[in-house]
Amino acid sequence: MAITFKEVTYTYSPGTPFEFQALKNISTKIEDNSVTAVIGHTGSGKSTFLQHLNALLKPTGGTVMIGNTTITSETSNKNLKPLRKKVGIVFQFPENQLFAETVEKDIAFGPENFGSTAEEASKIAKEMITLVGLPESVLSRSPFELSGGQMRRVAIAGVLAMHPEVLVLDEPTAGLDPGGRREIMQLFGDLQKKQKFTIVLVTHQMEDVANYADHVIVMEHGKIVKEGSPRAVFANVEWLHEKQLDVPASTEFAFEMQKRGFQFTRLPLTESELADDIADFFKKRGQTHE
Amino acid sequence: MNEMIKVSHLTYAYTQNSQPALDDVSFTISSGDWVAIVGHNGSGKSTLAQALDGLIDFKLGNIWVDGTKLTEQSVWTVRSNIGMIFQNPDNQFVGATVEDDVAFGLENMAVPHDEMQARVDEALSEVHMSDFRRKQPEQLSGGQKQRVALAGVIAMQPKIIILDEATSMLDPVGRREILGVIRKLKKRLGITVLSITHEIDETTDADKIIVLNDGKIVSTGAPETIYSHSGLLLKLGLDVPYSQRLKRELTQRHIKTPETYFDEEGMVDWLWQSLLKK
Ligand SMILES: Nc1ncnc2c1ncn2[C@@H]1O[C@H](COP(=O)(O)OP(=O)(O)OP(=O)(O)O)[C@@H](O)[C@H]1O
Ligand SMILES: Nc1ncnc2c1ncn2[C@@H]1O[C@H](COP(=O)(O)OP(=O)(O)OP(=O)(O)O)[C@@H](O)[C@H]1O
Ligand SMILES: [Mg+2]
Ligand SMILES: [Mg+2]
Repeated sequence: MAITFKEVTYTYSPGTPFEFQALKNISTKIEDNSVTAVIGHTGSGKSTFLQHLNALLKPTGGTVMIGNTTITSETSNKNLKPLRKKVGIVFQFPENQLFAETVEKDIAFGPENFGSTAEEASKIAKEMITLVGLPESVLSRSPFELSGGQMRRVAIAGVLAMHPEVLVLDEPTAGLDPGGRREIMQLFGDLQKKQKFTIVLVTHQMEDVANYADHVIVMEHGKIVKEGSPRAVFANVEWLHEKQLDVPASTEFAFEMQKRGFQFTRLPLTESELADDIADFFKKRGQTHE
Repeated sequence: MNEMIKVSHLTYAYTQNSQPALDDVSFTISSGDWVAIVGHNGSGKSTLAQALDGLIDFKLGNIWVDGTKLTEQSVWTVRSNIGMIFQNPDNQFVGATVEDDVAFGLENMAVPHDEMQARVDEALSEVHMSDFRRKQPEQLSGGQKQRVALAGVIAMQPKIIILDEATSMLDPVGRREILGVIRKLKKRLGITVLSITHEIDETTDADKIIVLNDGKIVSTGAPETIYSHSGLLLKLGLDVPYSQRLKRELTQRHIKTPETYFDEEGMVDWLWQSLLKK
């Protein structure tokens, strides 16, 4: 499902002393069957942007087209259930979306609410908990008596259980241990390739952007200041440094090598690209060992 | 005696029939040290932090903080020495506004009003949240909440700071900046810092790393020592520093790399020596 933003603005608490314009004239298109990463500083508007993807927030001005549903400030909440089935969100703070008395009920809630039988839903819960790397014994526990990273995994399982057409992830790997981070990102990547749905994620992990995203949106003060492929966006290391943003560690490493006189035809984005480049340097120098 | 924290045979299970979240944990932390605690999800890191802050009623083992044994009677004394940042900042906020929240810890310590004002101002400015002082905590973005939580401990200037993934939602540049602020404060006031983190680059400057696995300490040592066991770290679901990861990739490409641990700068230097130096 594709999503189009047309001149979207969003203002929190309009007409009060707390009025704050968090999105300013945002226009962009998120393609169907793609992975889009949204990056930017604290407070740049990333979470606000994401919450427009399932009409949890409605634009103060402009329109958001989600598939063929048009959302404006006038849209009523009444007919949004079909949309909520299609777009699943994992929030920045997973605690905020856990609610049931057991993990199993929490994960089974979505499927049941959208038509699965209790039995089917419970089977889905078992599958999903394994997918996110937790033992089945967690299913009978309260989701509120888990560690932070375990809660995050349960929240992810709950959203995956709904088989959404658009998967929206607000810092999905924050709080996951490094192994879990790798596994969960790999899981999202594999599922996306197999099922060809749309993923939009906010992340501070530039490695994940390099490895998984087709498209990157850079936000600053409520505006989109750059977008394009990871290769295009990360090509300009100096611009990103100026904007106080990071590049993937491999790009940064190559950038430092460049300063010492190494020449790259294009800056690498991932460890394996960088290692290939370095191996080439060794080959050229005729010093490959072993 | 310069032991700021001593934990001896601490064992704790949340319920009678669950696996212990902490299993015979013993360690000491010297005054003024920066200690990083790493471990997989559910390994017991937050439970340990809460035990140190007297928030968990453990029956087995003992904890001493700045020479005081943690008991029901001493818990308030112990807690007044600790500035703790919880994993979820929403569990942290008590004030109606950002500035009230930052001031809260100081009010409890009976800091005079003028000094309190000055410390709150300074702390908010250190974390770049001065413009938000009149906002309500629930009106902040995730990273802004973490910044305010950090301002709270910066203003408090406690003997011990415990950070439970306190920067997990900051952008990388912001994260380094805020950690720099804490490092400066630690140096100036000799604060002891315990930092629970999944970010490997937050551990490189630590005096000591403690590795937890299923409630047990499996390894303790200086960063270089811990990093040199990269196989173990990966097996435990943890990370190794970027330079070590790159080395593994190079080894797979039959390039012989130095045995000793190099940071990124060291690696670039080594590459320059091997490839470009005339
Ligand atoms: N309130 C609770 N009731 C019962 N069990 C709990 C509770 N809180 C945590 N646990 C369990 O205790 C173990 C240790 O949890 P803890 O929160 O200390 O882990 P952690 O190392 O901080 O993990 P994370 O990296 O995910 O934050 C986990 O298995 C967890 O499920
Ligand atoms: N309920 C609210 N009322 C008023 N202002 C708000 C509210 N929620 C967020 N804001 C403000 O809107 C701006 C954008 O917030 P948003 O949560 O979208 O940022 P973000 O890019 O997700 O940041 P982070 O990386 O820290 O999560 C911030 O300056 C924030 O203070
Ligand atoms: Mg956010
Ligand atoms: Mg924890």
